[in-house]
Amino acid sequence: MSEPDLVPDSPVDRLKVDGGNVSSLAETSGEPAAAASYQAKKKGVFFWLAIIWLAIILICVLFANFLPVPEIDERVGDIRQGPSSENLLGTNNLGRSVLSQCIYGARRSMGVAMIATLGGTIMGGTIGLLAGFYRRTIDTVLTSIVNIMLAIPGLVLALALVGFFAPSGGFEDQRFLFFDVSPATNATLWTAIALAILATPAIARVARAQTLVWSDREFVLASRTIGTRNLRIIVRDVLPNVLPAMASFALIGIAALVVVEAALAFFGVGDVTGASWGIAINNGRADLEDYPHMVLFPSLFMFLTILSLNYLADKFVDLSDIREAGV
Amino acid sequence: MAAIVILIVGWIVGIPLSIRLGLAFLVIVAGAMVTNGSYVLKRLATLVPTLLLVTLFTFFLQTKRVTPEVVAIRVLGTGANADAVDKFIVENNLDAPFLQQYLDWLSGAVVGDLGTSFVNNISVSEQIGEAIPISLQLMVYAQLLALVISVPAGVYAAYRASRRGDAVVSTAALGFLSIPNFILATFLVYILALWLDLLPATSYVYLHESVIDHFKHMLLPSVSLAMALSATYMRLLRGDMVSTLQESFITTAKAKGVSPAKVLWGHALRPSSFTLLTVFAVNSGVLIGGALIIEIIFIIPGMGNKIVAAIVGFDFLVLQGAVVVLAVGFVLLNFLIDLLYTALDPRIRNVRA
Repeated sequence: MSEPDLVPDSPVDRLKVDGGNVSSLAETSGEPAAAASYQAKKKGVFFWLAIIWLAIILICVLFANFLPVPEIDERVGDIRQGPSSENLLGTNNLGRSVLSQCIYGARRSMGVAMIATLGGTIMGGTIGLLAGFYRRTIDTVLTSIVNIMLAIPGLVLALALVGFFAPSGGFEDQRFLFFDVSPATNATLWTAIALAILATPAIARVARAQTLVWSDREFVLASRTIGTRNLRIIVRDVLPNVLPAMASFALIGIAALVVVEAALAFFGVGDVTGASWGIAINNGRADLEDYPHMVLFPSLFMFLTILSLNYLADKFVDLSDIREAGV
Repeated sequence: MAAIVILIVGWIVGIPLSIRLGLAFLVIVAGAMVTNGSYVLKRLATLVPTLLLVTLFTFFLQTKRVTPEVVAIRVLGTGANADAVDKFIVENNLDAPFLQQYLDWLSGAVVGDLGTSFVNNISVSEQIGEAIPISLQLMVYAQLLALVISVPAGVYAAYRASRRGDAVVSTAALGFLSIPNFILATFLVYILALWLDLLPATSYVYLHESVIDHFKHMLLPSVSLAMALSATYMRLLRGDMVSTLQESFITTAKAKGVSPAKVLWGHALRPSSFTLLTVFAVNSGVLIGGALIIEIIFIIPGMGNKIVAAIVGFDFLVLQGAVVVLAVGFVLLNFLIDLLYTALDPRIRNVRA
């Protein structure tokens, strides 16, 4: 995933100051001196705020059980309590901490979306590179496959895949391919597969368009002239140049897939027993009128994450445009 | 144009929606044939295999995973004895080879018969026929609303590019783009319906029952659906328009003394709108998905709730029918937009002809 290399190795204590001391954050963020001059001007405060928020989310995804918050299924107080000093974001309809639901929910929502985007990027990237590089018949065949994948509306495809392969309630012979798994894991795995399939055609299109442009450049011709094998040209010459566009698209992809993952929870397909932002929001809707905090905080987590991803993707496009213009 | 007339006149006269849509479709195809025959034929040639593959894929999903026994037990109840299960399978022809089942189903589907639900014995086509006009209404309202918001905003942002007005509009667009429609819907319900009590929170009123109530009930769903769409459209339009405004024919127009408003709306808008039009069509996939969720939140009896009911009730034939209808509609819509695109952009028309 493209995120880890975007995340600066900032100390954890500074991450806690979310939104507080903005100017000092921008000054103290340790940026490598090289190439800083024109990029620093372009990035600005919001860029770092977005990075910091995503870093927090990433920490939630990776280390949720080590954070000083109640366990996910621990009853911490009376049900449906508003935010208080004991339970920062209040409790839900089972008396569980909403903060824990948000933090553990990040693991499910973001985890599934990130794995699916990675899978979709690998599949789509391969399709796009092959189609764009070899052209002719291979291009025609791969492009029509992509077009057929695009012919089914995304959410409908996800609903169909997860709905048919992992119906809620589960079948007696619940298996994932050749492995025996619990119905919940089965549903989550199929969700990830469905989301990866959703991401594939869009990324394939981006990769193909970029490959068409880059494989016409002189350095590719030079490689051909000295007899480099095609595979090596693709991996060494074309791929590094196609990657920035794909990475920026992958960020948008994660954002979009987080939404689809949550939407599936609204439909009640997939695993609806665990903790995810979508499940938390859907559960809270029943008590919306009296206890809006149960919906508000998971929504806020989701909104900020998607906003950060979209903003970074925008910035990423800007920055790589500048690099290209400089060539 | 003639197609729109058919849609509206047919609505007044009371012809069923499917026939109206079919007629409008034929009129548009025929119109495109007249101006650009070879291109239309080429597109038609790819349309048929695409439709076949989409239906085959959906059918494959359904039969591959779910064995006939499982379907039978789901429908008859877990206590069903073996004889009843066998009888059910034979009656519904579930043990036939995959390809034969598909062909049987397809021959029905071509004439509009998607089978009969195992669960409640109601024709699938009938169930979908009730639900789809409601979903279509929601999508049309949302698209119109999105255009009404995004076109002026995009033109304004392009006009004030890189200045404060543009910054405000663009930032707002990024914000709206990042709010998932179901979250926006939830909070609109909370603020406008539950808290201020201005609009109804859920349910649906048919247009012929009460026009005012109909729009009152559809306002919140449409707005929730339209905001993210309009943000997308606005960003596209702004991007294209900024580059159009740098072209020499705009400079010429300005030099002739044409007023800024005339330059923006009269000269620059049309050449800037092609990407918007393409995405307008591609987005209908996003729109369909969005409409399904929004229907669930507002308890609107459209396709979204049909699909949920089918998933919960293991009504696989309805689920499959719904997926096929949505996918086929989507493919046909993209086909139509392609044709319209050639009509609007003379460059494509001339290159292909």
